[in-house]
Amino acid sequence: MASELIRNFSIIAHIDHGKSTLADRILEATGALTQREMQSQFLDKMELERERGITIKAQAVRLFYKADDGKTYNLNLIDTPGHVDFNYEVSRALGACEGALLVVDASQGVEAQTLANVYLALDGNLEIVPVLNKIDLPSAEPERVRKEIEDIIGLDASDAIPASAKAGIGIHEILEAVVRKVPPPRGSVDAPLACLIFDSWFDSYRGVVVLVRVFEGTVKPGMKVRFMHNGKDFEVQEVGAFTPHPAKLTHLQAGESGFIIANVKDVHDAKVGDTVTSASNPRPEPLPGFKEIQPVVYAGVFPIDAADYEDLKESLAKLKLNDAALKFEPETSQALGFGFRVGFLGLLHMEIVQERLEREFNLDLITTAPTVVYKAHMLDGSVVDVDNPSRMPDKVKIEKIEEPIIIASIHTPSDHVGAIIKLCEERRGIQKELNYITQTRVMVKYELPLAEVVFDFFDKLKTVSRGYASFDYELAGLREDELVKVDVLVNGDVVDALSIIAHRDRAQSRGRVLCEKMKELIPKQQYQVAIQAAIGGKIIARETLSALRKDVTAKCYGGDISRKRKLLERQKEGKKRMRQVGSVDIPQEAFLAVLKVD
Amino acid sequence: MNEVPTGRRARGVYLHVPFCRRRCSYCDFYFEVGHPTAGFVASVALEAQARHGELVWPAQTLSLGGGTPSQLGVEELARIVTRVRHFGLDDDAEVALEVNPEDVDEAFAHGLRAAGFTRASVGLQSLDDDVLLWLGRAHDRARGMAALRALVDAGLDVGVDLIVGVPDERPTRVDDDLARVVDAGVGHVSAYVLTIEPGTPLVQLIARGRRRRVDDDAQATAYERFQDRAPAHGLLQYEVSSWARPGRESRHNRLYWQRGAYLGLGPGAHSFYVDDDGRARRRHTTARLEAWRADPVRAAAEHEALDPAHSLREAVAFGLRDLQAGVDPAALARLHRTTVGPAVWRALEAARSRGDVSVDVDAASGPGFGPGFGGPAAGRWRLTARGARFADGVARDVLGAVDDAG
Repeated sequence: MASELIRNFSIIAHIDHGKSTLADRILEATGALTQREMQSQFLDKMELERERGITIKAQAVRLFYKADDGKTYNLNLIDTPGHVDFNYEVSRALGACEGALLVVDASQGVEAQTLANVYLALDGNLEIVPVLNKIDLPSAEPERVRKEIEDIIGLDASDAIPASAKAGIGIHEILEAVVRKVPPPRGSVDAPLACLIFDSWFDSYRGVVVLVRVFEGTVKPGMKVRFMHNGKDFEVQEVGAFTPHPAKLTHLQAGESGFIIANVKDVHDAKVGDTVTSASNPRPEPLPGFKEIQPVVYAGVFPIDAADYEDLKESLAKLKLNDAALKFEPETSQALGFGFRVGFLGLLHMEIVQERLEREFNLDLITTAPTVVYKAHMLDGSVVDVDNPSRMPDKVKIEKIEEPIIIASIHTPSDHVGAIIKLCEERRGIQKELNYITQTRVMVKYELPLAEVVFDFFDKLKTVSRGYASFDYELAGLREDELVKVDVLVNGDVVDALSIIAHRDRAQSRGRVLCEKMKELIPKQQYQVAIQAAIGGKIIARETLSALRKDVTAKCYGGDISRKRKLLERQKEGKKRMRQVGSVDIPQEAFLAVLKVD
Repeated sequence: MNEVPTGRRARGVYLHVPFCRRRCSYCDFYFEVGHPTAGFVASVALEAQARHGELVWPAQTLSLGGGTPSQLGVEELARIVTRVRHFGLDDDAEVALEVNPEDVDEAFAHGLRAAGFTRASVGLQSLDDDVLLWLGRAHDRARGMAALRALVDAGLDVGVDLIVGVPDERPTRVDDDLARVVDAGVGHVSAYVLTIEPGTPLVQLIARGRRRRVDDDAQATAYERFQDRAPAHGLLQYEVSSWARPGRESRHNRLYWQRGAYLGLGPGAHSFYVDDDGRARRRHTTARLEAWRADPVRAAAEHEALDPAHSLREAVAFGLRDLQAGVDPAALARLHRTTVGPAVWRALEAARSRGDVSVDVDAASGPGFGPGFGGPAAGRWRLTARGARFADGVARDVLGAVDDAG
């Protein structure tokens, strides 16, 4: 198809502002799906995505639309993940487009998440078409939100389209705007091949499916292609596009988007952001913007039943086939046994991985408190990356410790700004900016240690702002601070999985809370149990769990025996799921409780 | 008696009498309030006639529990004893029932004796009026003492149930109760630490703040005090909650801990025996009073059969509760047509090393005991006084002592 009849566009929206519903409407309006096939949020493929109403993987759909000018256009709708954890994937998906629909909830207004993605789109010189969604709601204030878009983002919103994806209002106007405003792709079909990978996944029948946007040249079956970041060559077996059902094509050419199947076995050979070129006539330089993505948050993942270790290993390997960002290596904990230290892009990513492991692979897991990667500068001049608190080197050998920091952008109604500033200060934040964007909306920027955010910052933020603040962050390097490792000892034995790294000023209070929590959670034993928190060899907090003095039910006659036997057998099973440290049984909740210590 | 299968050597009959005058705040046994007792005995007779083949006769014990057996009149009670004797009761059989103090006067007590009862267990709970009030009992100390005297005077073996560890009870309450009941001629005491059973009125009363919640430590102290004081009154502990003058132990209750066979009649009753194939077989009549009355022969019941290894673990776990007789695991294994696995021996050894159980080694059984020493010993294992406080922990370990397959 001629380039001038192609439009590549994406939808940018804050979670819940109606992106998926709008995508559904567009599919419906262009006849891509019959009414019978319409299933709410078609593009959110995974069960988990649909349930949580979020997009994890990018999608691309080829649609045909007969516009008011009488011509039929090929619209490629590229759906993007909405969450900050997947920021890089968003930037690559946007990189495959010439335009974007900016969907803003007409009553909620602009949120931080929206902003982050709009800036990504503006950086990529995309044409932005503002849409005021949920216009049918009584609380809709289109004029206020229109002004917000102009004030906050600096976009001309005078012709923002009032719409309601749910009610089907404004869909035609949106499609017309895409055709009119989004520029057609440029690029020559005869130039050396240049495709940008914006997603890839493993299909157990077809191997790795690579989603690309072709910028230059043509790709077709039989051709040898090269993945530029690792230089590996593969022979293309099939090319096609999703309509949204997969459809084979003879070729994909400059300006088009679609999939390539090229006998790639490992999803890590097809990294998002990489460039695919021709092996026989390669491009000298890859398309710009590729970067290796590094996990920023780590957690230990252990099977509750040690017998599930092999299953966990296999399941992680299977997940990794589809998730190039997932990293893991074996880890052994005295308390939790054999498991893995897993690296994640962020907390949502961690939650999703854990949920998928439990749901899709039917595993019961203990996930330890998430931690960031600290850099310990040793007195001997070496630098140790510490992704697990229990592996923090002895403090007498450390010259200084640095921790990753972020710049957090918080966007809030002005009523809550005081509480938010207090929260950030408590979390060792340094204020960078405070702007009244409108009279009632404030943007606050804080430099914060990532470690202070990975716990429950987001929940706390929602609480202090009654749910109105939105939050986004970017990594901003390392900062030195007075950090110490706090160990928890149960009857003198260090429980490695409970160790945390805390700021020196807060170590004592966190240690005390940890001990109190453990005292609540560890069942009484036949002897007294000392629960202590320590920095190095120095005890900073102590709780004593008094001895269990009786463990007996009084009556055991004819009718009681069977019932009692079943009860005791069940309790025994429950005990098996606890972890033994020394001779003390610690229930799983204790390990999870570390997460919730303030 | 050689033809009697080993699993049915000790045999008893239990009859559940579900009638109660009123509901007790702590009780979770099956009972009905406000039902006439007329026709009950006839139904029992029908059920006994239909099911007597489940037991090998004669039986050595007959026990009536509830509910409140003393809600039946002396005549009805006498007909029950006669009915069971018809199938066979040893001449020296223990014929026992539970009574409530408020049901007992001299005539009733003598009537019981005449009807063939040898033993009465009184639901006394305490002789302290504050404790009785806390528990919501209908009787007071005077009524309780009168009942004890009447029963003792009638020549019955008299035992009492006490509830200890009641919040706010005086520390010396246990001593006073012990002294008074022993003084009255009581030879058997069942002392139960108050347990708040789910679904009982106490749960609500505590939730609404009308009763103070129980404190584990205080209960442990009360129990230990009871263990400590009872011997001075001539009462020796022979089970977790049971004390008796020597020779006055409940033979019927011991059936439960020693794998005896029992035929349970009446609504809600449980029956048990170890079959010739080594399986433990249980029957629980689940039908409630009205359904059971309508057809006592085909009333609804649940059945359970445990395989020999499982049944053996159960037998050991609960047999340990008999602090005097204890259990001989090897003999129990023969009864269940199996052997004692290494895991069970390990669990017993671990409990012994904690001081929760003790063992007498039968000198005839060989050079040692436990796994790896010329075979396990035929010694008798039992909970120690300390172990009685941790009986559930020991039972949990024994029940969980499953050997890996193969």
